[in-house]
Amino acid sequence: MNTITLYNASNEERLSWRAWSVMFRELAESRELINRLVMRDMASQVRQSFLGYLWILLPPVATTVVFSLLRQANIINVPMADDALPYALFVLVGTTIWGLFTQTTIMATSSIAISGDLVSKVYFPREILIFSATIRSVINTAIRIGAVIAGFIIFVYPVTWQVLFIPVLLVPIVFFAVGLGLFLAPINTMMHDISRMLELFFQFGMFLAPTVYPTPVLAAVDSSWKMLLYLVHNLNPVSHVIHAIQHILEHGTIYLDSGFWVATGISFLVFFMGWRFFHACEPLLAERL
Amino acid sequence: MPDPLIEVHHVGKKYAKSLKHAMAYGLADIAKSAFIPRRYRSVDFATRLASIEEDARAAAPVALRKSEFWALQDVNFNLGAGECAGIIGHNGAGKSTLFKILSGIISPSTGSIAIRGRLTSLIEVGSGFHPMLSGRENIYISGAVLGMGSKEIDKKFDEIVAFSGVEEFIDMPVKFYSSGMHVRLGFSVLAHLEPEIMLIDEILAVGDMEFQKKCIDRINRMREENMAIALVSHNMHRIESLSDFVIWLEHGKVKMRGDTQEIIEQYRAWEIEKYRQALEPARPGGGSGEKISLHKVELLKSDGSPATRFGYGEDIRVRVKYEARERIPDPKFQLFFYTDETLVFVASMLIDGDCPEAIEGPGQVTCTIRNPDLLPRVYEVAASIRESSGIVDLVDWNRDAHFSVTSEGLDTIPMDGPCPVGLLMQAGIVHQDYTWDLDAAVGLGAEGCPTDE
Repeated sequence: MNTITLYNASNEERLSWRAWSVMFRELAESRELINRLVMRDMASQVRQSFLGYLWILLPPVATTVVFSLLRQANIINVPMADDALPYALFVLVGTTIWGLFTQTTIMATSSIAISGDLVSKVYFPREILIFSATIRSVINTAIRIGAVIAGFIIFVYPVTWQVLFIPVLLVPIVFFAVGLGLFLAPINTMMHDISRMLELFFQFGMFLAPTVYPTPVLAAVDSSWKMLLYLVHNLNPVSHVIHAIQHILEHGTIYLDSGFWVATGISFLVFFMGWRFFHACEPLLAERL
Repeated sequence: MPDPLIEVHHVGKKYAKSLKHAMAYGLADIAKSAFIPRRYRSVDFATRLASIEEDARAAAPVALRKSEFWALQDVNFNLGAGECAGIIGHNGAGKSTLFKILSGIISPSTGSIAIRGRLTSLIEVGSGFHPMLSGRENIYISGAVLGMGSKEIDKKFDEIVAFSGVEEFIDMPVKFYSSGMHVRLGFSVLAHLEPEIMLIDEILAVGDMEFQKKCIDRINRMREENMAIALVSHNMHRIESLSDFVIWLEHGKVKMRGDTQEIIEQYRAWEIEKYRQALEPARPGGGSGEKISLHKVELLKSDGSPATRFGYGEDIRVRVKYEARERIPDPKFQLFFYTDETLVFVASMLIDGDCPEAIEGPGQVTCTIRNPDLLPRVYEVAASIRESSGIVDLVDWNRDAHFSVTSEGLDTIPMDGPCPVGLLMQAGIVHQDYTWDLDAAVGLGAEGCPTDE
């Protein structure tokens, strides 16, 4: 017997507990389409471009160079602890991780609106667009990690085997970012302001995480402004992951504080709630594009 | 009886007219659908369908919010394997909305739809294509988007390429394809999906004749293999030749549904009536020259009663009322019959040479058209009067009157072919008596026409 597809006005199916099995089944069935879309967009990203994949490397490298020069010239004063990474490596690591978070969020959020043409012509589970955007962002980050490794080699900075755990530590960031994307993408189909707002916010948001300066140490907080930065950094789940990764690089040991576990928990919660939310409002996506 | 491939129950769809409202309602709907959980539904299909039907019957009418309107309301139909449903209606009648709901792109506001099997729509041609990638890569992408696995595509790849006729350029970026090649490749992927149901919104209007023919042949073949079709077209001939039944949508509602020929005939009559009504207020009354005025152009039946509707082949009398302010010798009366912008024929004293010796004061001239061959349409009549030499207009002509020909009496035309009504309605303005001489048709006797089975 043929497969039966049902469309009806009530949204109950999408809200029942059974929706989870539908969501996972749809995801499993569309692995191939996700692969195709990722390959399509990766390939088209670099065709008709002379520097190709190099463009992906440039943003964190440029930020690193600029901030290193500013600090070298004493225009900005960023005190670093004695056992900390060299400042250039600190910025390179921080911006690469922050980039993973921001890029994933932005790409996931705008993925549906960008593919509006496709969405309004063919039906397929729309999550696919979000997940393929996510995979692209993860691949971009993998390429950037190549630049980070090159940085460590240039600075002849020794690391231990524990660095191999770093990719695992990045997982919560990805889930957090996709979760946000799943919440924001449906809204972004109606109000394109969302993705623009995100871009603007993330540009300044770089200062709300330990990317170009370390999180103030609580014992050394001597002004209410520093206290504010301390609080903001600690409320930002991404900071905790960056802390953990910096710890591995600086001390060669894995140290996951409670902040990291809370951040991880929040990330997965945001992801599953976001997915659920997205699935519930999927039928509304095409008509208001 | 096997289950129909498409079941549509009480389907409706509302839209907001203003973008601002659309955005606000969209956010409200998202919030509602995400945070108001409802009861759990049965996993079993039959129970679920039954409860949906029950809901549809019992449901309180969904209220319209400010600035909303029904793009589609209470549409019901079933479509079985191998059947073709023709969907007709004016622009904005809800045809595209219906198709979008059927293909799952938007969800209905009321009612439910069950679809058994793979459904594809011709508007999906070329979906997922990326201009920078080659034809080869795009076949895989488009195939995946439309629901084919890569093994399935691998298997059909050569066939797809051969059918599209772009073998030579298969490794060239699609960006450099002509629009025809683009469509051919897109359709080729679609056709090899081997869907059980296909939605066609106007037959492909792109590609050369040869390829269009290939597409239609392909669609016909798939139909023989029991594919169901829903067809939207403004071409009544196509609708008639393909459809088993017709659904006529008007302002989002099913105005009529049923036998193809009957509905097409009614649709045409309705169109004519609408056009006639649209003409009504714009009609200027007569014309006035220096020496003579045209008061009125009247249409009469052969018994002298005024009329605006005539059956096919029924005599039409046109009476022109005038008032001459001075004596005019040998005036030449003319009548022009138009449909849309086409001049159908002229009744003119400049041709036949008849004319009154002289006219003065008020009077009237009547012209009778015997057994006209005009097919059902709206016709406009313009009148003019020229002086005796036929060179100078005494009264400028205006399209002063109009009448419509109805389908009444059409049955005097032999109509034993496969699609007489749609073609007669669509194709010509007049019908002429004709016969075929089949004696020299080799291999077929005079009665040797194969009958439809």
